[in-house]
Amino acid sequence: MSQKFYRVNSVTYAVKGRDALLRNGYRAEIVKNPDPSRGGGCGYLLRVDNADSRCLDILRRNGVRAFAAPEGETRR
Amino acid sequence: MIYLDNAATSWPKPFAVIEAVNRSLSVYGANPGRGGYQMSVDASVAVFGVREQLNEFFDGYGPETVCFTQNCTQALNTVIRGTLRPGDHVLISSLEHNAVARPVHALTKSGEITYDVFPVFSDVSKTGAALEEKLRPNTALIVVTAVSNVFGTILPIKELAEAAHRHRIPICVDGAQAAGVLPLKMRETGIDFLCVPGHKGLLGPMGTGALLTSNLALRPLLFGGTGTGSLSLDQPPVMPEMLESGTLNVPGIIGLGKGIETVAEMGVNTVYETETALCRTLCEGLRAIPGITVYGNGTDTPQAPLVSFDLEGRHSEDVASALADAEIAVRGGYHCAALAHRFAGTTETGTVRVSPSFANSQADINKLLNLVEKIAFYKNL
Repeated sequence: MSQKFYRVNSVTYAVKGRDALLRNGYRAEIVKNPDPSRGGGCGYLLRVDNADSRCLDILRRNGVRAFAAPEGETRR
Repeated sequence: MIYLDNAATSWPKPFAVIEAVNRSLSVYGANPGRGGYQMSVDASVAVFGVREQLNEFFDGYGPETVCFTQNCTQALNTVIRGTLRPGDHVLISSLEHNAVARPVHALTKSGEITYDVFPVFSDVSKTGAALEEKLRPNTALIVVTAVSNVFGTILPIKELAEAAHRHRIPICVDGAQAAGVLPLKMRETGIDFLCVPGHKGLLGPMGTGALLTSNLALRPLLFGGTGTGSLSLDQPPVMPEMLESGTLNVPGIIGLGKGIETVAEMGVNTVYETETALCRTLCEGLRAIPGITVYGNGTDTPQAPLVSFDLEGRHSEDVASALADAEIAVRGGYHCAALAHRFAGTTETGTVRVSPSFANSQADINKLLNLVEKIAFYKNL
């Protein structure tokens, strides 16, 4: 388990995704994408402190389109 | 004052709604979906909570398909302008509010679309047949109100949705008078687009409304900032933000959430039965007064809890004004519904519309009846 960031389409999906992860026992938080020049501009990321390979699956099963954010995208 | 104009907007608002609006101005004071600091995220979470409430209340297709609008009219305009393309044909019922009739009429005047009006009958099968008769190969949308805002007539939404879907046409429902008063279930009934005001039966503040979609594509009515994809000049095609350019009315939305909670706790059926009992007393009393004609309510057909009447020889605005002088708030005139008055033949004097809420009492109705009786008797009142 490690800290990971997932890029989502909007703040609505960020909240929806966070809630889905919390329900499944993950420590998830909504954070602003620190580098808006990547990924098309402003947006939100989900930071999951105890992420594992199931996170993306949970997000997608809950209708949240998400992508694992590349390492560089999470730092300014 | 005795307030009997809840079809225009509900009043008084529950204290919990007032308190929620007040609190949100302090607690959720940041712009949702814009910042990454805690208050902005908290506001986003709170707004999302109300999307979830609306989705659950109306049996919708997911919180992300719930878009906030300023009112029901904006939601209806979004559907009408966001789905129709040049050359399309649209069908609307004879009981539509101007919120539907005017945008459709405007698009027709500019030569972009055509439209037809189908009559509504008390016989459900006749209404369905009337709709099917007016369909054309290029009919692209059907827009119907769930309840006439003038006469309280309840339209057979499920049957009309089935007819629409047999021809693969989406149906948009104007829930202005039904939301919070009658059950409106999108998936169960087959509604593709549901437009609701927040400030009527849902007990929220004015300036709130919502558009619930079944994931069908729509073009935005407004373009602008959504908080996402800021470097692109294209509107991000992601619902619901795609249809929500500009800052949301967060205090209103939070108040709306509390209003929905209040209605859900009471139960829509309880609201309907309480208000219908008041309307029954009103109709019986009005019918006993010489010169009064009551429209709609009191027949075997179920009606929404609002009553329209007129008094022989008096314009409805005169009667409403006389009632206002006695601190009774009702609405006279045409209720922004030209088609409905033409259909019912009430364009000369309009109607006096009485729309109680669950907060009214039988005593309120008795006071109104007493006064109407006097107005009918004394010609110069």
